[in-house]
Amino acid sequence: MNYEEFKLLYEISEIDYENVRKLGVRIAPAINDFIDRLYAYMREALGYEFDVHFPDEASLARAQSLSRRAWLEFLEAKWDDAYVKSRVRIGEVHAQLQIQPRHYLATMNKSLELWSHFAHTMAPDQSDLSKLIESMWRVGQMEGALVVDVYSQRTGEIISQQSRALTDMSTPITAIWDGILMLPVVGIVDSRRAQDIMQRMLEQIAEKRAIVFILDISGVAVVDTAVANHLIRMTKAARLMGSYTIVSGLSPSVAQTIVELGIEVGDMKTTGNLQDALKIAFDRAGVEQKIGAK
Amino acid sequence: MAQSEARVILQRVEGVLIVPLPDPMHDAFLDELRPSVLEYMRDHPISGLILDLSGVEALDEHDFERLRRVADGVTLMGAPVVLAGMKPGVAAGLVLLDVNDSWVIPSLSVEAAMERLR
Repeated sequence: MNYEEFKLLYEISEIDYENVRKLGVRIAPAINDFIDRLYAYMREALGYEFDVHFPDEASLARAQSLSRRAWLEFLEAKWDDAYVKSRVRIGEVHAQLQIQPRHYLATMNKSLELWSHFAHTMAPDQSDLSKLIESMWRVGQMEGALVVDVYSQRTGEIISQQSRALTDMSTPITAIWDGILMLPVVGIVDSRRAQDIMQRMLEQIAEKRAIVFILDISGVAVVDTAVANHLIRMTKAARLMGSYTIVSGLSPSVAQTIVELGIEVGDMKTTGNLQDALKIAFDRAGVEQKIGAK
Repeated sequence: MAQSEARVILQRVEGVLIVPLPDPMHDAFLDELRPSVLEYMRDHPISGLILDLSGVEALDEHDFERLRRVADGVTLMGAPVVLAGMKPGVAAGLVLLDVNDSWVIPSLSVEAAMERLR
């Protein structure tokens, strides 16, 4: 990702960093006081979630030392790779610990408030104090956006991982013989699922060099025109790759629906039960290896 | 560059002609493919042609139609044409484009196609 974009979005220039650095020199000595107050605020505001995230003294101490380091870095105000990396890391940690973005942002807000307070009490004589504080707020808010951005990215990755796992579970393709793959399809086949099935099916055909692919649909709840078309597409695509598809497990009612709807199944090979499909498959797997030129 | 793009590689193995197709597929190659193969067939007997698609990541209906014409020409001269090693993405794409694939004799790999044609 282009983190430079954040600087543009928050209209942050080198002057702002300079301002934060100027202010940082004056208020950084209050870091311990800052951490104490910040965590007191969090304990109050987060309620039981505070105990969830920091179940014992050790984890609390660790979090505090990380916060201390992060804030000292912030007050040094250097926009470089190391800084960006450490902010990305903060986002990742928050995603891992499932800390809510609203809690993170509220804490960020409180932190900036605390630093503003320290600025007023510790550096009242500083020239342009309000400008420096304004720069600090903007840099701080940009940092918040950056961390939340990484957070949502990581969360998205976790979700897509889970959905991939779910897809794998719902398409249990098994090699039942040399060159013969089988997939029992269970449940409802919508176009999203059909796409998943087709993709996995074709990948497996390529990987396992499947001569025959048996698609058992005895567990499919409804076979209508749309489902039949999906099946036909899968069969065609598999054929183009050099694999022969048998759709098995057509129940009498499914066969009737197909006839009544006038669905053109074309070259698609279908059988009523798995046994017939297996016979054809064994035949083909055997024949395929011996057959001469067409 | 244009010269090398258009180059058609003809490999004859045990009487079978194998032509690897480039990725990306380009018109210069397709222009060259049919005459090259047909002229080769005039001078050398072959028992079949294998179009090796294992390196091809994308194929549109236009390319596919041109491959069909190559296959038609070769078939007219008396040799079967096998499309070998089509990738999952290519197969799925062609089916979505609803191309006419009735002419295709497919094969999982060049090796499997050799078994059939030898």
